[in-house]
Amino acid sequence: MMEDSKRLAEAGSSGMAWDVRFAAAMEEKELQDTLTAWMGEMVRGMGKEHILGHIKAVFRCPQGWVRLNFVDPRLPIDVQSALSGPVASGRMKAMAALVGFEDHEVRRGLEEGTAAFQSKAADRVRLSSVRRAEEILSLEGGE
Amino acid sequence: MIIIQVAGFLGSGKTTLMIRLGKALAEQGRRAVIIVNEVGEVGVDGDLLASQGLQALELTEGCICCSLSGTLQNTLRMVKTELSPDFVLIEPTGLALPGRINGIIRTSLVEPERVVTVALVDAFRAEDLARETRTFFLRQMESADLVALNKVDLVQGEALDRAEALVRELCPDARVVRLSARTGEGMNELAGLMGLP
Repeated sequence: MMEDSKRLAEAGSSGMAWDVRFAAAMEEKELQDTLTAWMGEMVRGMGKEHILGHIKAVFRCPQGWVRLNFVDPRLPIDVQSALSGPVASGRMKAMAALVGFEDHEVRRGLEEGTAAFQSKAADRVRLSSVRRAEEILSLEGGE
Repeated sequence: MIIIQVAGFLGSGKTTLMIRLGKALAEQGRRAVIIVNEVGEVGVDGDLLASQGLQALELTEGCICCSLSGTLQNTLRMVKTELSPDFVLIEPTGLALPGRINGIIRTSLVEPERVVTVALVDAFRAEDLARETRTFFLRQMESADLVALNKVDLVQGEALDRAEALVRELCPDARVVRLSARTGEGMNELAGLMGLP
């Protein structure tokens, strides 16, 4: 049997999805800043200054998309978007794969980072975690 | 059907290159299907590729070079018989070994016209990767037809020269191209080396 490449790289990974609703519709720049702050909390949630790997996210909504990437602490979080108007809600998916972590540690980092973000932005953002089964159903239904 | 595999470590810019390649092929009237693999249970890149109007099939919860090798073979057969694209673009996880994937393609019975393997190296982190994951870094490059040194929009001058020298030291026979998948710099040269129209 082939050796597992993830084990070979000594990496852990996890991913999560949330339905997101904003108290007031956000323009593109505000949405970018809000999601960047969220990802920043995820990075901090990993609890290590030196991170080798990738944390990425995509936010999709009827108005378009926002993409976020963190690859190195020396670089800012990269954010790109294409939106046709103010955004009131959408779905955020985030995934991290990091060298030197176990899967459960990556999961905990995503969860703790999200909890920290939610606490700071409680007046503006409401999140509900999407279970895997719901995500599959929404994909099959053409989301 | 031509298969192009774009491999590379986590965060090396594979999805950005996929979007650029997929759009370029579509503009030329070529039919391209992207197979994107995520090691985690939640797929992010498939959503992103779909949002760009590209046809993407997402394989999640494992790696196509090992635990999902059978799934890759089944997907390739399905793509060939049901979608008949001109190109299949494969984006493995950042933890995959491209040499293994080439072996899996060879035994999939899809008989592609050609398989091109590009190893994408993040020029900004090349020295860190070589230091911290040297064996893995090398194995991702050694079976590639060419190495694309990506993110030249972030790295210039001596740092870029050092990154290229490192790649050439580790893979003396590799064809190396400098690239920014983000800005498009070097895309024509890459396409030429890949034998694309």
